[in-house]
Amino acid sequence: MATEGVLRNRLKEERARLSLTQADLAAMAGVSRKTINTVENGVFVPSTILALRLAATLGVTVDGLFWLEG
Amino acid sequence: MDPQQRSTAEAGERIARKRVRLIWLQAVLFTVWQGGFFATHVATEPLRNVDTVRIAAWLVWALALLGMLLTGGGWVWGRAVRRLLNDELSVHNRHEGQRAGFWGAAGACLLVYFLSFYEPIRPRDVVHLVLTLSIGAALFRYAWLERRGERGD
Repeated sequence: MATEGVLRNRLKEERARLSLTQADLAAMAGVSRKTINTVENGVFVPSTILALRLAATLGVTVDGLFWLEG
Repeated sequence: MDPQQRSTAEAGERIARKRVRLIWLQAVLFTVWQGGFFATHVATEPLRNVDTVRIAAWLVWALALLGMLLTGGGWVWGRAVRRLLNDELSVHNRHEGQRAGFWGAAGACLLVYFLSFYEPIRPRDVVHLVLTLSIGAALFRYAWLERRGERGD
């Protein structure tokens, strides 16, 4: 099944809301800073598990953090 | 964030950057070394002692690189740091590297197939060529993706 649309996110905005650096969020979510960086920039599409973990760390819902566009 | 968490994260970042540099270096050295092998080796039997040592060293080196490509390496570090080193993005990049390695191996096989019409090729040389192109392609792709992740483009 083909996947259509582009995954967008509000990671940077939510991170800024909590005054967290990429390194802070990475450490709290248990991943590397470059993972946060590539997810934020739309280079890397995270797994459901990572998306859930990021949302829980930032205190938001997954669909408030990620959505499909197009 | 607790100090232990921060210290593990910082160690993971530092080691990850070193690992990227090491993968680049290994990719270049391994490919260049093999280039030298094909440029200078003479197909004589029995092998001289120096050739046996050289081939054994190359085999150990190739196996170590294959092990690194299979597991992500970082064996000397603790579990927490290793989990950061081989997090979701790194595992994805490593799998992309393995995919590049597959195409490198397929390309090498095609090359050997066409070369064999013009010149007989010994099985051992075929192994050298296939391993060089597959491991080289995998390492270059892996290192490039890891570097891209660090740069953030």
